[in-house]
Amino acid sequence: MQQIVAGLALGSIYGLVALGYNFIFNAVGIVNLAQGDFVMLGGYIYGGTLTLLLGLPFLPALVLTAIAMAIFGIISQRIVYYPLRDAHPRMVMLSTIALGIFLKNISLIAWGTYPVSVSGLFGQRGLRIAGVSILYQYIFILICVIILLAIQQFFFKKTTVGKSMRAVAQDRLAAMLMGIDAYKMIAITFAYSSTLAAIGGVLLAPVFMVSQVLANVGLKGFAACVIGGWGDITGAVIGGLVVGLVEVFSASYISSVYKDAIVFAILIGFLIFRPQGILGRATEVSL
Amino acid sequence: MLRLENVNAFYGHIQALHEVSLEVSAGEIVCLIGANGAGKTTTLMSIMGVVSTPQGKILFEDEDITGRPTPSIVHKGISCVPEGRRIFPQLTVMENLDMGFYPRRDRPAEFEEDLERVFQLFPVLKERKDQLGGTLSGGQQQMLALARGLMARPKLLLLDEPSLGLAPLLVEQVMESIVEINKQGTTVLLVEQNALMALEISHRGYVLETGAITISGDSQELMANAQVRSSYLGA
Repeated sequence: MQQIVAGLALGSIYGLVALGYNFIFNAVGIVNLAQGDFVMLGGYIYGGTLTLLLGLPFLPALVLTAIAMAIFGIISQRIVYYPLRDAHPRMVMLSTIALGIFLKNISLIAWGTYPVSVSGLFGQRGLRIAGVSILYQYIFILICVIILLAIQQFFFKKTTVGKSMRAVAQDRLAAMLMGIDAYKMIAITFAYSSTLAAIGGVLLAPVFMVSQVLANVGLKGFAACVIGGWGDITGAVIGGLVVGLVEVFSASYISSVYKDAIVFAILIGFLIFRPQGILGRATEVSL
Repeated sequence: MLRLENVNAFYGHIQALHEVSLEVSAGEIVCLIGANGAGKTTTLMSIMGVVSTPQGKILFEDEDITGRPTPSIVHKGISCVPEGRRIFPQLTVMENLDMGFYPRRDRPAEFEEDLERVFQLFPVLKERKDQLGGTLSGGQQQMLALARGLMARPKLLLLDEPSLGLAPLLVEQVMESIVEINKQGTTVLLVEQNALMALEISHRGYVLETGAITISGDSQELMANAQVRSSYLGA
C-alpha cells in the first residue's frame, strides 16, 4: 500500500514531465531535452528563493513559481526554438541540450552546490492506517495532479486558445489559414510545458531535495513518454505511473541502488520491442 | 476586390511565378486552371502570405497586402480551403468548424447562425458533428473543409483543387455547392486541374502555364478557345 501510493505519486510527477515533453513534441516536432532542467529550475525558484530566502507560504510560492516558469518558457522558446524554426529538428534538440547545460550551471552559481531542503506543507508527517504510514505529501501530490489534469482537459477541449493549440499541433499551415497566429500558440505551448515542469519541481521539492540531480526526473519523464507512446496525452500519464510504480517497487523488493537501472532497462526494452509505446501509433519520424 | 500586379514568387532560387497579374471582382467566380506544377497553388499561397515575401503587388479591396502575415490577411476577409483539404484529423467536425470561426471569435453570438448556414449547405456534417475529422470520407472531408472556410464569413474564398481525389458524382456535388456559396454572396477564386468543371461554373478564367498567365477571358470564350480545348479539355 505504501509503495503503491508512493509509486503513483512519483509516477504522476513523471507524467507531468512527460506531458511537458509531449505538448512541445506535438506542437513543433522536437523533444525539449531541457525539460528535466526546467523541473530543477522550478524547484530552485520555489525552494531556494521564494520559500527559504523570501519566506513565502506555499500557495503564493507555487503561483509565483508557475508564473516565473511560464515567462521563462516563452523566453526560452524565443531563444532556443524560434531562430531555428525552419532548421532540422535535430538542430533545435541540440540547442535544448545547450539550454539544459546552461541552466544546470546557472543554478550552481545562483543557488550553490549544496542541496536545498524544503519541508513543504506536511514535512515528513503521514497518515497511519492499519500499521502502514503514507506520507501526506504523496497524497497531496496525487490530488494536485488530478486537479491539474482536469483543468488541462477543460482547457484543451473547451477554450478557443486550447483548441487552437491542438489545431496548430495537428496541421500548422491549416491553422495559419484559419487566421491563427501559430507562433503565438507555440509560445503558449512552451509556457504551459514549463509551467507543468515548475509544478513538478514544487511538488517534488519536499520529497527529494532540490539539487542539480533533480534534473534527472527529465530522464524518467522521457522514459514515460516512450513507454506511454510519444505524442499521446493519456499515454504520458500512464507511462509516468508505470515508471513511478516500477521505480518504487524495484527499490523495495529488488534493490534501491539499481532502481533507476531497472527503469531504464524497461525503457530500452520498449525501444527495442515496442518503440511506439503502449498507446502510440506506429509512425516514422526521421531525426 | 482582389488584384495581383506582376507578382513574382520564389522557392529558394527557383522562380515559381513570373509576372502574374489577375483580377477578381466582387460577386464573381474566377477560375485559375493549368497543369500540375504550373504555379496555381503558389499563386494562392502568395495571396495568403504563406510564400515568403513575393515580389509585385497584391491588393485586396485596394489595400496592399503583399507579404503581410497570414493571420492578418485572414482577418481582412480572405479564406483559403487548401489543397488536400487539410482538415484537423484529431478535432471533431464541430471543433474544425469552430477553428474556421476563429477570425470572428470575438462575436460568439453569430456562431449558431453560421453553423446553421453551413449545415444547410452540407447536411451530412450535422449528422457527423461529433465525429473526428480524420474519420470522414474524402467527400465529407472536402465538405468540411469548405464549411470550415465559410465559418470565417469571408468576402473572398480561395479554393485549391476542391475536386481532387473525389468520385465524379461527388465532384458534381462539390461544384454545385460552390455555385450556391457564390450565390449567397461570397466571391470565389477557384484553382482547378479539372478545367472543364471549373470553366462550367465560373464567370471568367485564367490559364497558368509554367508560372505565367498565358490566356484569360470569359469562361465561355475559353471553352471555345482552340488552345484551351486541346491542352486542357481533351478535345
